[in-house]
Amino acid sequence: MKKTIIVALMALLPLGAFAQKFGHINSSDIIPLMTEYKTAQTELQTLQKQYEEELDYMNTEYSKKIEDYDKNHETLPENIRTRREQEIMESQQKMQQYYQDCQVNLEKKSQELMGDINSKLLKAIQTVGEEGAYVCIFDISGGVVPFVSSTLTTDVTEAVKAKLGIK
Amino acid sequence: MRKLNTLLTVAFILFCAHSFAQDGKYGYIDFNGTLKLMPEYLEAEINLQKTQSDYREEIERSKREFERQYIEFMLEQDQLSPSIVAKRQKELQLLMDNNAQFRDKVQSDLESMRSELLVPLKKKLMEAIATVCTEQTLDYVVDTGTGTYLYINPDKGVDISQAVYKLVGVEIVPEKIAEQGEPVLNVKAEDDNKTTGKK
Repeated sequence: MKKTIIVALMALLPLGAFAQKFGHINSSDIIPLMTEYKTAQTELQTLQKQYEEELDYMNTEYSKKIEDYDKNHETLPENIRTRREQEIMESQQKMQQYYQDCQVNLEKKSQELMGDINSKLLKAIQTVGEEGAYVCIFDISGGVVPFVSSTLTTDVTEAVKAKLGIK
Repeated sequence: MRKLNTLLTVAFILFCAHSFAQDGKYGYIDFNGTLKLMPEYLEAEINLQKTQSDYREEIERSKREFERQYIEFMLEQDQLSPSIVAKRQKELQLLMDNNAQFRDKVQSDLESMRSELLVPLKKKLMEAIATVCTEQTLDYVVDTGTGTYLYINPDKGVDISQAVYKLVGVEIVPEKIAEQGEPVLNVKAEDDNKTTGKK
């Protein structure tokens, strides 16, 4: 009987000796807590507000042109009426173009700011991975990894937060 | 002998030319001056002035619009972000260029309009002059409004003004002609500085 127990223990020993460590985090729980993220959000909101105000200004100018045209177009000579119509059309096109430019600029700025934040987070995860001798740390946000066992992998969220200085 | 023949030929040619010049009957009229007296000219002038006034009003409106936007920009530029300041400056520059372009276009439009309006009038006047020339068997007509002829002898030429006026429907007889009852060659033409001869 003793012999059987010893053999069984011997068989299990290599498994324990070579156990591999896996970790997981949820980046969407960490990123919003980062100071850089809050700064980036403020910066993006400020930019968006500036764009909105400028679009409002353009819209007001456009409305003034329409109002003036509606009031006077019947008495205007043909060529001047055409000129005013052209001006109105150009204003509308400029407004649409500016709106699209704003969207592109906001997207670009967001990617730029988020790129810096992601780099910082990645560096913290790598440090935790190296220090804790993890084989791999999965990010369970965004559904990139179809399944991660919460019992067989360690949640290293707190360790990563600590590396990032989040309390 | 040969030289004598040549001399005789030259003398004959000069004699013929001289005779022709003496016998040829000519008329005279101030073309642009007559054009201005035609009823259609006054009508065209009124149309042109109306268009000019409409254009002037539009230029003024554009100018006021630019000034308003410029002042607004100056007042709030400190509160605007650099990218929006640059955008507004570009827009103002564009507006200024457009206004300048419009001013130039107005000038050329008015000139084209004037030319177009005068085409049928000039044609009508030319036809009337041709008719008078045929009726009075004149060889050619001198335009006294150009300032080219500093003196025209009224005894040798025929003043066709009155005959042409009748054909083109000019009712107002120029004051000078009515008062003096003699050919007046310095009828006021387009350019006041132009001078013509008078007996």
